[in-house]
Amino acid sequence: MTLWQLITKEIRLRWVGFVLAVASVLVAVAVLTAQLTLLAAHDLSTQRILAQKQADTEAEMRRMEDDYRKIMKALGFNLLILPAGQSLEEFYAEGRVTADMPEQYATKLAGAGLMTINHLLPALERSIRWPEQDQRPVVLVGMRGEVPLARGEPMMVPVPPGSAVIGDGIRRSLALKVGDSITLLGRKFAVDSCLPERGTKDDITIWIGLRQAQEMLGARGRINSILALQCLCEGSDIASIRRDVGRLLPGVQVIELASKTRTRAEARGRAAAAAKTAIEAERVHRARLRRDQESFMAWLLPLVTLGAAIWIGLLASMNARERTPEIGILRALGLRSRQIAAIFLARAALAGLVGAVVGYGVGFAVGLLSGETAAGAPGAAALFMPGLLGLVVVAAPVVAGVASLSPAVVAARHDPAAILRNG
Amino acid sequence: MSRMLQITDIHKRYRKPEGTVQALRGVSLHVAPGEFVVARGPSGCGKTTLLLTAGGLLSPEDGQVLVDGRDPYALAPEDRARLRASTVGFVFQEFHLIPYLTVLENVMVPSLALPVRAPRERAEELLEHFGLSARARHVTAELSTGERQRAALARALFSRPRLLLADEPTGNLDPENSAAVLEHIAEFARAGAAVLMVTHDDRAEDYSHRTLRMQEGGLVSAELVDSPGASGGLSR
Repeated sequence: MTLWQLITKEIRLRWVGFVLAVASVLVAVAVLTAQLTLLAAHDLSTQRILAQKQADTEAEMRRMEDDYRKIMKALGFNLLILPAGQSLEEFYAEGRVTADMPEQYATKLAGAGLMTINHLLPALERSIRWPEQDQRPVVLVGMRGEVPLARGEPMMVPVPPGSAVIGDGIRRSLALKVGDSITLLGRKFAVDSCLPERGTKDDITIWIGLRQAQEMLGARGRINSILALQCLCEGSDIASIRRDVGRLLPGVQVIELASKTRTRAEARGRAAAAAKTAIEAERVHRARLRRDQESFMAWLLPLVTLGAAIWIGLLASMNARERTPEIGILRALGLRSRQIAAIFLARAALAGLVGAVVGYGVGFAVGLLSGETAAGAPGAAALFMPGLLGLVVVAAPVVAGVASLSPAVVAARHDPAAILRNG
Repeated sequence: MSRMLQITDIHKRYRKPEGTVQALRGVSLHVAPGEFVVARGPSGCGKTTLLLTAGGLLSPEDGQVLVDGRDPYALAPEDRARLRASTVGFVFQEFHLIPYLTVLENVMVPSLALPVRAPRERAEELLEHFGLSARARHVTAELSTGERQRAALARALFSRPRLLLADEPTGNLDPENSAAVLEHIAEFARAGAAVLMVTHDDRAEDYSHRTLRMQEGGLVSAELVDSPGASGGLSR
């Protein structure tokens, strides 16, 4: 005969009370396990969603890059045709063109019917000091607008005579707005429009009509660049265009502008930034969901645990009261108080252990069948938490024992004489 | 002559809402090994209090109790429990069998307090002696009243106590079962144990060596009777 046999046989007789104690532990452990399983599932889903978004974004960026490449290919190259005497070193180093060429070149090129060039924009550009504004350096560009070709609509409307388009640096420093009047090299111009900040020399540039610019700069009939847009060519190279242009305009130099690369890079950058923002928004959203779940758990768990502990304590009290005669005879037969207490504590711990194991199973199943786990992303193996199982298997019997401590001590201190005297 | 139980001038009062009850007033008695002593008296005369005090379960306010030469109330609670487990057997009118254990397990319960060599064999030996072998696997609810009291007696004797304290053990039994129980107790005394039984069953006197009369918490007389003999007792 052992105390363990005494405990298990008593449980078999009074199984209802034991089952109720197990049920209370079960509920508390199941709530804890389900909540933590849901949180773990949430975390795994978050990782999966963010990884998927990241992969989607990268794929989208690759696709966009390809699209831009195709678009740019369809648009063609942007080329700059420079005068024969222009030093490319000077152009690349200082960004300015000092040589010039006849304006007729643009007309000749336009009239040649080259199928590889879609738009031509002749211009005269010169860096000057603005005498009316304390000799501040500006870039003066005379634009003729597009030279009419045999096909297509003009891409750019010329600046109207007497008007000027100004860069953002000039607008800000002189507090100019559309409609204001400026005086440049003794001529008055009305501000036709102000460009947004570009972070380039465009910010200190003033665009006026080509004819006026040629007069003001003493370069009548001269230009120093022709911008050729949407130049199409086979095999994505400019050699064929160079050959065509060189045949018509001997000596001129044809270079590819960096606009294509920049446009592509900017597009990709914008796409990347948008994707990053979307991923960050998703991360924030998922974090908020997790916090909500944690807050819910923060008040539910203590409540359920406290309720279970009170319930176990009440059941232990009832059990001890019911077993008063038994306690009396056991004491009379020589059992020590601690053995009597151990009977009640072991009974409670057993209820805690059974409740913990079953509760973990129930909570895990509920967690798996609920919410995001039901959607099927993380598997059971990924969510199984052996550490949590170990924790509840140890903690639940301890909590149940602590909850039953008071009734156990009261039972152990029962006066056997009083019990036996009263029958 | 050695004394297994020596009680000297013990007093015990109960404080109740309706007033103080003097349960024992200067009771003195002794029980020697092999002696079967019966204390008789009307209900409420302090018989049960005397028995509980003698068994180390109820401390007297005055006087001294010696069990096998030791004062249980001078011992620490754990040692007092050990003394009870090793030396004293109890039998009660209400049996106090544990309802969820079988008869065999009930008899073995004292082994929880004091390890006994070959406990199952000892329990089966007792059940056979008390004619309960066929009931060994039954729970107590399936026993007759007489069988229950014999099971309780077997439990009391399981640890081979040298002092048996019996409180109205025949109180709920019919004459036939009463006679059987009394014979078992007398047999135990003949085997060398000391027995103090409190009862108001006058048939007990036929089995005892001495009968003490109690009234209002005190002993009023003692009668010596012929020894029922020491042969044929239960092996201790």
